[in-house]
Order: sequence, then structure tokens, then C-alpha cells
Amino acid sequence: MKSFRSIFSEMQALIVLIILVVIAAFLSPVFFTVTNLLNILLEVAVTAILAIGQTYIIILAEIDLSVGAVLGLSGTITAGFLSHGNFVEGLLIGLFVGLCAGLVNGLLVTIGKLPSFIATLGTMTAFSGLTLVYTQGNPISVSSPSFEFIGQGFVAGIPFPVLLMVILYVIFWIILHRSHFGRYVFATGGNEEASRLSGINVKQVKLWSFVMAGVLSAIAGFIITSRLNSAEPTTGSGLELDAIAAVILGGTSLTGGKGGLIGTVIGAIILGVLDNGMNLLNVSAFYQGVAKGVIILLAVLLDRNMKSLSSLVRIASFKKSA
Amino acid sequence: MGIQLSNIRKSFGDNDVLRGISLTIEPGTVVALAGENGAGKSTLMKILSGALHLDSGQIYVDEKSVTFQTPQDAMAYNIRMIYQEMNLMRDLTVAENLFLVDEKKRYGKFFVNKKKMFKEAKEFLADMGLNIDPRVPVSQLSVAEQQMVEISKSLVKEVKLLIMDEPTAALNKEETDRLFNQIHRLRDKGISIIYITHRIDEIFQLADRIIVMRDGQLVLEEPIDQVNQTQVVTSMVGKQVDNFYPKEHNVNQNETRFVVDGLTKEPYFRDISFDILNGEVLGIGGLLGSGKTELLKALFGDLKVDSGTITVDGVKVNLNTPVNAIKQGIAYLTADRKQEGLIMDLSIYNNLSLSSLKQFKSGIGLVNRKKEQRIADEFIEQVSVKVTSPHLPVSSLSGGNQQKVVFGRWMMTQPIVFIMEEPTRGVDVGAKSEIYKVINTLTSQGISVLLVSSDIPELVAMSDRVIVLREGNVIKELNEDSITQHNILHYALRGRAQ
Repeated sequence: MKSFRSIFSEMQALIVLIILVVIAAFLSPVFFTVTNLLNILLEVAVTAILAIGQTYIIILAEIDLSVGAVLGLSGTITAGFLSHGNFVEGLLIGLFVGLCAGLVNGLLVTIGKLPSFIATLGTMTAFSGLTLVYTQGNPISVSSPSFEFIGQGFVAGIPFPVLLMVILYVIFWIILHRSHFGRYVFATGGNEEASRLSGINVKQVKLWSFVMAGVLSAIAGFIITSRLNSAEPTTGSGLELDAIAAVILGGTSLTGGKGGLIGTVIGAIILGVLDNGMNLLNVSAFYQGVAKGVIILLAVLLDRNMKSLSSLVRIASFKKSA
Repeated sequence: MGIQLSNIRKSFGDNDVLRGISLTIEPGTVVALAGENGAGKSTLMKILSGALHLDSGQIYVDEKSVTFQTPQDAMAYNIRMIYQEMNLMRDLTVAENLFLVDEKKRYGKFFVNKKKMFKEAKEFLADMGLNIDPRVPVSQLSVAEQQMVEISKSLVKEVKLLIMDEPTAALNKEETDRLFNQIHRLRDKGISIIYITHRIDEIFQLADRIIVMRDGQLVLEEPIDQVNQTQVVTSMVGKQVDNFYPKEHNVNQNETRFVVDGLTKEPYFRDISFDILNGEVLGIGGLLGSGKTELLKALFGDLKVDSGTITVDGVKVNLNTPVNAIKQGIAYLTADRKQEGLIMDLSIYNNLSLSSLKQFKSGIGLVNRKKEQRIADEFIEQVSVKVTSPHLPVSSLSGGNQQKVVFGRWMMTQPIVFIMEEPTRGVDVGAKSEIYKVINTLTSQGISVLLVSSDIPELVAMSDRVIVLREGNVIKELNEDSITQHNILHYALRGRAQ
């Protein structure tokens, strides 16, 4: 059972999303078509999958800045293997790279006792560097029909990445909200010392969460690489910020212990709707960044100040009636 | 002249903490203030230093009536309080800490004249008889030196009355002696000192007068040469309050469940041996710094010991982590409920099941929430937590009910040994006696209880046997009729092992 507060935060993200959808539908006739909506979800899938691991980590009161870099690294290594190996091997190696990267992050944070911000800032830089070393700065093109399906295939009219996103969200929602591990994630993020003294192996909980984030980054990397039919050496840079924005928009608290995956997926869709809406309205790419930043800030401001806002409203209505 | 308190009263809700305190503090005297926890010492001193407001009564400084709204007001009358926990900026230098308050005025508005500051700090410290380099960060000093800096800091400006709250808790013998010399020097300069302490020997070594408080009243106020130690202890303890503690004796002499043999962890404790029988409550008496907290941590696998063995139900156990200790049947209720006990944002259910969650497994390995809630409901009833909904965050409960949740959590792990540290801290009187009933329930189930409490009447009433720790050694074991407040205090306090 979640606290009311966290449900409330997730609801709030939903309200922001509905407002944005209404505005976009009003301004552009194309927006509210099935094709466009599926398109948005397709665009959202990568960020949303990255944001799954990030949600776990932020609930733990930690942060992972390296997810974009891990995505890039595992994507290019997978592409490299696919050019002279088979499909399954490529995927496995990509997942393995993601796992190892997550393991490095987790060990730095748990055994090395580094603040996760510092640890993952370092690994982010190092992993991006490794990607450049591996690719020598050149894109690696991929021509594997099976691999192509991951990013470009359809199942019953639904893009495969969207389906994958939904499946992953269901699995990780169950783990977070219904399993022992998930309970420990919330407890550890809420009060690490008390959790430790209650018999939770908090280091293990953190380690596995970072490993999970690494593996999920690799999966997101498959989607991007497959959609482009090529692994670019700079793919993924900046995506960690989108993932963090999605988590925060979704109402998960940076101080840990509170939040959830439904909010995160809504947060990711909010970002997707913003991008899509502004593209449809031909907003210049330069202004898009500004607008996105402002809207993220507004949404979080609204969330943080809901109490004072509602009391303002009450005072205003009281004055009117008086 | 001096400072006078007249008929000071203060209550928190229904709880009358101060019931008309009147006293006079002459210039140039050291007054020792003694009393058990909850006697009202801290409240009185907070009122005198402006940190709390009085409900009624008057404070006079040099025969002039004053009111303190904030600590700054009290400071304006040159009254200063040094709290137990230090208020130093650890990464700043000693000199910076000393002159923190008016650094700007003294050493230039924008750029600090460090040379001048260090020079003055050095002179100031030398004048205090301290050999501390003002250029080093405070974090590099020993605890005793930090304490000295803290005291020096409050003397940078003119002082009339200095209040010290157990300043020797963290000091060794030699450091304590130096502190006492310092206090006597201040007294000779005409400064008054109120010195709060639990240590009887210090009172006789240091003070000119003694004040003892009990239940919000002054029960003893005498020049030090007019009283002896026994009088002081007796007036601290007062008359025994009966019936408040519903103690049941459930000791089963035939079965020893918990044995500790020769446990040592330097510098905290050494050669600690004891056992606890089935259904027995073993109390541990001792002051802050006697090693009791560290001992509990060691028994819960949270502090690695140098040597010694622990045996649970006849099996020697190796406790290296709390996870492991819980598996061996040890439960540990920590003293600090907020920091080390509950996860405030989690629901009451989730807090209850946190340590025993593995028991609740559904067919596919997830949490069996139906069973979890059913069992948790049983324990909510057993420890009588008053809840509107167990789905609410545990932070919505009162202190007493929160504490019962912690009890329930550990009972759900079905422990063999239940270690409890300050089980009724921050709990109101009604909930206290309910918690004592819970302890009875535990012993009636054959659980061995290790009770640590600084509330000595509680320790006396609830223990079947008491061992007293002092400076990391077991000084005395008390049985049956010898378990009295007087004895516990006597053995816990009686000087320091040299």
C-alpha cells in the first residue's frame, strides 16, 4: 500500500499530461491521431526504459548519471559484434556490457562509499570515452534483419519498442511494488541506517539496483541502434538528463523513499508530448530546449508548492465570500 | 547581586515540568545541579539561557527583572550555555570558531585580517592556559580540546554566568582535571558557573554549592561541605513510586538462553560475561560512556569484537552483521526511534513486517500481502497500537504508538533474545506502562530480555537482575533486594576506575 502522498504526486503528473495533450490537440489537428500518438510512444520508449532504473535509484536517494553513456557503450559494442557475429551473441554481449557497467557503478557506491553523483559522473565520462575508443569515432552500421525488428518491427500494429516498454514497466512495477526487493528499496531510501539495523542488506539492494539500471540502459541502447541501423559514437549523451527529468516529473522524491513507476512513465510521456507538440507546431529546435526546461520547472514547482498553493486558493475564495 | 530565580513554573501540556523553582546564584560560585533524567534540570537551564519561555515566575539579573525571548537576549545579559553536543564548525580553524560571532567587526568587513586574528586567538588561548594551535581545523583536535575550544568560545565576550551541561561525558580523567582547573580559574575571576552532572564524585571535587532537583522541584540546596554523598543520592532518588510498573516474574531457572563470555572491544569494554535465563529481564546500568551502547552494538553484530564468545540456545554464534544477528534470534530495539528505528514514510504495515518480510512469500516469490497484513494485524493487537488505518505512514502515530510498532516489528521476527535500549524514551506515561506489559508478554513467552535504560526507576522495577557497567567493565551484579536505585547509582557513579 502506497502512501497517499505518492499517489497524489503521480496523479499530479497525470494532470500535467492531460493539460498538455489538450493544448496540443487544440493547436494541431494532427496531434490526436492514432499514428501520431503511437509515434510519441515510440519516441518515448528509450527515455522511459532508461527511467525505470533511474526510478529505483532515485527512490534509494541516489542518482545515476551514467545511463546515457552505458546505453552508448553497449549499443556500439553490440553493433560491432553484429557486424561479424550472430544476433543472440550480439544481444548477450550488449546486456553483459550493461551489467558490468552497472556493477562498476554499484561497487563504487557501496564498497567504495562514493556519493553516487560523483561515482556516476566519473563512470559517465569514462564510458563515453570507451565508446569513442571502441568506435574510433566512426559510426558502426548494422545490417541484421532480426536486430532491425527490435527498433522497427510491429506486433499487431504496435511498434515493438512500445510493446517492450510496456512489458518492462509491468515487470519492474511488480518488482518495485510487490516484491521483497522493492520493499527494501523503499525502506533503504527512506532511512538507510534504520533499514540496516532492521536486517536489510542495504549494500546489496543498492548494488542490484545499479546493475538493473545498467542492463536496462543496454536494452534501450538496442532500440536506438536498431532504429538508426547504426551505432553512433555519441549516442546516448544527454539521455540521462531526460530520464532523471521523467522520474522527477513523475513525482518521485529526490530525497528518497517515495515515488513509483506509474509516475515515471507519465513523466516520460510528458516529455514526449512536449517534443512532439513543438515539432508539429514548427517551434524552432533552439526554443524547444528552453520551453522544455521551463515546463519541467513549472511542473516540479507546482508539485512542491501544492500545499501553499491550495491554501492561497482557500484564502482567495474566503475573501470573495466575505 | 548575582542572578535570582523566583517561583519559576513551566509545563508542557498536562506535564508540569517545573513547579515553582526559586534560587539565587552568587557571583563567583560553582553550583552543581544534579537530578535524574526528567527532573527538570534541562528545562530550567533552557529557560535561564533563553531557549525556552517560562510560564510564570521572574528572573532577576543584578536585582533587575528581565525577560528572555531568545538565547540572544540572555547573551545580552552575559548568560551563556554550553550544550552537550558541541556547536563548533568542524572544518573551520580554532581561531575562526572562537571569533565566529563578531569576526567581521574585529577583523575587517570584507577581508578577514587573519594574521591579527590568529595572534589574538593565540593570546586568548594562552591566557586560558591552553596549548592549542589556533590555525588548525577543529576537526583535528581531540574531543577534550574541542570541548575546551567550545568553552573558550563562550568566554570571548564578557560572561557573568556560564551553564555547562555534562561537559565531562566524553573526557578522560586527565582532561577532566584540566577542565576543573579552568572552571576554578573562571570562578576566581568572579564568573558564576552552573554545572549539570550525573557524577557525584565530580560534584564534591568541583562545586561550592549543590542543588538537587526532583520532579520539577528543588529538594536539596546546600553548601557542599554541609552534605555527604549518601544524602545527595537519596535526595535524587526520593521516594519509590510503586504500582506504576506492572512487573511479572517469568524467570525459568532451568534454561539459560543467552550466554556472553569474555567479550572485549577496546577501548569500549572488556571481559564482559553474563547470561540470561529463559524469561528473564537482565538490566544493564551505567552512565553515558560506560560502554553499554557499544556492547549492545556488538551483541547485534554491528561492532566487531576483539575477543569473546556469544552463545544463543546452546549454539555458539558468530555475529558479523545485523542480518546475521536477526537470523540467530536476536532483536535490537535502538534508542533513537527516528534515526535508527522506523522508516517514517513507510506504512505501519510495512514497518511492522520489515524485519520478517521473508516469511511472507507467495507462490511466485512475491510478498504475500494478505498474509503479511493478517499477521501484522495480530501484532498490532498484541502490542495495542492505536491506529486509524495501518496503511498510513508510521509518522502519523504518536511517539508511544510508534514505539509499539518497533516492538511489534521485532516480535514478528520471533526472537530468542530481545535487546532493548531506552524502550520508553519520548513516550508518555500511559504508553509507558503498556510497553511494560509488552515486556511481560515477551518474558512469558520465554524470551530473554536485555534492558538498557537511563531511567533508573524503570530499570529497577522491570529487571530480574542488574549488572552495572563502569568504564567498560562489569563492576557489580545486583540481585533481588539489592536492586535499588541507590545501589545502581552508587556503583555506576562511584569515582572512576583509575
